[in-house]
Amino acid sequence: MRIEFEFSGGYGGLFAAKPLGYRADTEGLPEELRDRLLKLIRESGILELEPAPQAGGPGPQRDVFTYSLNLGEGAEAKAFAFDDASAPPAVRPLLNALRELAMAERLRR
Amino acid sequence: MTFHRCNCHYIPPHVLGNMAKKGEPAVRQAARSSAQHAKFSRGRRSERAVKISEVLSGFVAGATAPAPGTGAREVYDCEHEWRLRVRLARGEGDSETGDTDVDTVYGFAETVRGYFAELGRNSIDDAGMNIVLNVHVGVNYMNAFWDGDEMAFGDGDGQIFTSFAQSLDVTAHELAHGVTQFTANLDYYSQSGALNEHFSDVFGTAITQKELNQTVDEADWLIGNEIMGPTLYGEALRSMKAPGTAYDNPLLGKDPQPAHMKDYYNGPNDNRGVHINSGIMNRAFYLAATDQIGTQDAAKIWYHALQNLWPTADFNDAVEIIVESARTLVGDGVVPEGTTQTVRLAFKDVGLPT
Ligand SMILES: [Zn+2]
Repeated sequence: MRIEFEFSGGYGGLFAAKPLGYRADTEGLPEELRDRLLKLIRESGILELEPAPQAGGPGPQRDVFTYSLNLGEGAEAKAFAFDDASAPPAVRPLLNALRELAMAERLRR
Repeated sequence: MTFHRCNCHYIPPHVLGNMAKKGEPAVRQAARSSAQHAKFSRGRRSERAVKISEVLSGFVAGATAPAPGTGAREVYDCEHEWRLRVRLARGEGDSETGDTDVDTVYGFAETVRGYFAELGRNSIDDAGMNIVLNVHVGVNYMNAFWDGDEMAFGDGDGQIFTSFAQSLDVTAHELAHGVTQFTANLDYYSQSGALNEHFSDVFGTAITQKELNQTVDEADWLIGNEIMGPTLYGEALRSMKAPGTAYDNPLLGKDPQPAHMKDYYNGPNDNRGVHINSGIMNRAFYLAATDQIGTQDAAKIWYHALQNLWPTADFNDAVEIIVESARTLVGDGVVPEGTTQTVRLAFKDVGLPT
């Protein structure tokens, strides 16, 4: 499965001018990481969510991380936009894992 | 699995915020509890009810049941779950728990509450709203935020960031977002959003300097340096003295904050630069504080202004209201003669008003 993820913000305004991304095809990942990500995706229930629910105006939350996440490819792809306060609790472990992967990848370079 | 989506009876939270601010006490209470229900971040109402009844019936040892509206502190241990208010760990007046994050943030909340009390404010909403702080939120979560009613603190990963609950700067910054919500209620977008961030940094710094009994020369004027882990040790997240110099490393890149209007960020990211352009206002505050006024008198002026600003206020509006506040406080004998001119000069030095 194709994963395209970006995040920025938080208390630190991290990557405020240019969100930090993580892109991967689960098929091309090491087995352990692939299984972990697929499990997180499954447990998050994200694929059963309606894509990018429209919020009813800006929320009162301050200093949350904001995320964009695309899963799948072509006509099958689903696009989501979340922040720490509005993301369904079940999705938060997935967002956290992707955020850590994005930062670990940046550190390696 | 289904998700609770409170689109039913949805009123945008900023509208509720205004209702809570302007309305009678009953309206304020209703607006506030309605705003709570409009969010995902806590357990469902039924779960919450169970938890509170458990507390009341003594199932949670050592924790005092929260009394609404007494400005009481309520520290919740989220036990690394990705939701808030998992377990009340320490209520107002309770003894130490032995958990350093619970106990530290409990102490910080007293410091911040006391600071605003000296400014004449009764808790976050000036009506004795309880101060709710959630620690150990999520797993390795490297952030702290204000959710519209309460604060959340992650433990950090221990490498890049340490626990956000261990910083008075962070606690004061987040609580000040609440104060802003119940005063100017600045929109979190573009210049009004950068003002929102700026006021939180002002109180974060002013409260830290006061607690450490620092002069303007002793203060580091850095934001976020206390929560840097080994990977980023020695860096900070923002510098009020020299915006744009807080960090420069392979992980975070370079601090994007401008220190002057000529370098204003005009891009679409970060809600049009709320954490970026706040650097310009932060630098003006630093200049005012260090040019004779002192941080604490400057903070009094800024707090006066915050109560007279409005949601869509921009930088020019803020300059006008802050200078006006300086004049008022000079007239009242709260700050010395000459303060107004110092404040005006500080803004001129960052290119304001435009
Ligand atoms: Zn903030």
